[in-house]
Amino acid sequence: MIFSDFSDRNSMVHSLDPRTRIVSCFIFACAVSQLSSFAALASALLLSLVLFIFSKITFREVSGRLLALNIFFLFFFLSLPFSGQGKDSVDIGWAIIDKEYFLNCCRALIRGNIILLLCISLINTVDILTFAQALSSIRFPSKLVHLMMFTIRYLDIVHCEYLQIKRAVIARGFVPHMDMHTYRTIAGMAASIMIKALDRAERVNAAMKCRCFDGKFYSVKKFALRRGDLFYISLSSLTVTIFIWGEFF
Amino acid sequence: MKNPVFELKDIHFSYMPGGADVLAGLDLTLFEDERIAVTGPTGAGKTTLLQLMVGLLTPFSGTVNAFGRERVSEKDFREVRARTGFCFQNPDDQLFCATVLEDVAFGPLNLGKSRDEALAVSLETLDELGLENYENKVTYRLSGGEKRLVSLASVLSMRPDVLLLDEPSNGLDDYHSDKLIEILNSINKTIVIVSHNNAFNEKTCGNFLRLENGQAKPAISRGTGH
Repeated sequence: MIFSDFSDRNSMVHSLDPRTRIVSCFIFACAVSQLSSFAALASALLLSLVLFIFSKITFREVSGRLLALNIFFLFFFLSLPFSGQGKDSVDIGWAIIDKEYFLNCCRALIRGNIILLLCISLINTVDILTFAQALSSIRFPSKLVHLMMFTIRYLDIVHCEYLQIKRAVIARGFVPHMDMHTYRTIAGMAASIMIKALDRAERVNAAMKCRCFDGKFYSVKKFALRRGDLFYISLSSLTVTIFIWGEFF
Repeated sequence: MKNPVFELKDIHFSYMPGGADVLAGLDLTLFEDERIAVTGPTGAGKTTLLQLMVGLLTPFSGTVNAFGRERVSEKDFREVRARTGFCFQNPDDQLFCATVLEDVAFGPLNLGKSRDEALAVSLETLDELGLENYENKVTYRLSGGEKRLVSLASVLSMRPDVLLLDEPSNGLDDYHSDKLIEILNSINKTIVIVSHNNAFNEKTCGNFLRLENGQAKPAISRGTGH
């Protein structure tokens, strides 16, 4: 499987019902996106760090993701503060920095990191197929859930087919160069993967028809809320209420 | 005389309109409790034959009778599929659920069984195939042989009257091959096996057909047809 996740651990976060984790992550993310005071953002960051630590994931494991996000924000910092013509400009000699734009960049940076940490600790701890089932049990549009399930299941197989073709061309002495032969070979590989995937889709559909599939999925998985979930739900509702209260009133 | 479960008459089929016929006037009768092995060169239309039987393909001409009625429309064939377990050549085409249990329960749930009934019949089927403790395993992490047995379980859990197996011994090691033979010989069902593996065919089937030039002919000597 080419997807990595942190679902196979034991922690307080892992023991929560997957539906609770998904819904709370969504609500937290929405609330965080509306926060603008730095005090509120700092407490939200603290909260996401606490959840992250409770989920028993280490920073080293997610450093790549955090780095990618923060490099993305670096471009914000390199462009936005210099493009404003607001009143609160600060002249630093070689450039004029717009204070309001700079602060907005900081807010976006903190929000982005909070949401990423929340997603890692709350969503990445649900294995991806349970995730799909949890979504369907909270009445998420079933077509999207099925699309996701099949993508997960067959992306890996398509990946294996790609590796197979790659091995086949390498075994016959193919070395990529900057020439027509290389382009033609790569185009052929891509086309062959797509055709194979289409063929497979047809066979999968036929196999499902043979087992009397009529467009409806029935799940055997049962989700149940436990005491810990109720505790978590009340605590997180309280937190979100406090955030929103502090922000708007 | 036993009742025929499948009766195919004068079937003509080709993948391209106007192209060469894969099946040209094929006749086949499958009786209750009969076990037929179908052999033939690649491209002879063995898989096509199985797909025509369950209505995944529609013949250009000819009739398909199954379970005492002529079957024409998709709706007709839905009933046929509910009573016919079709095991595909490649288990990866068949298994798509996260866990083994879910995959095995997929068919029974589609047949309208309740969750508890579906779970019960699935666990029972896994037990019958010697796949106890497999229910929570992740399907894509199974070995080829295990995948084959699980895909067989996923059609057996529908409690079909007829089993259609497309190259069931493909890619199986001796251990899994022997296990499959043992399972097939222990179940009391009408079976059609499409396979190149003559040793496998001889151990599991009583009758042998050879597909050649678009028609099915009884094979004289076992398996090879020569």
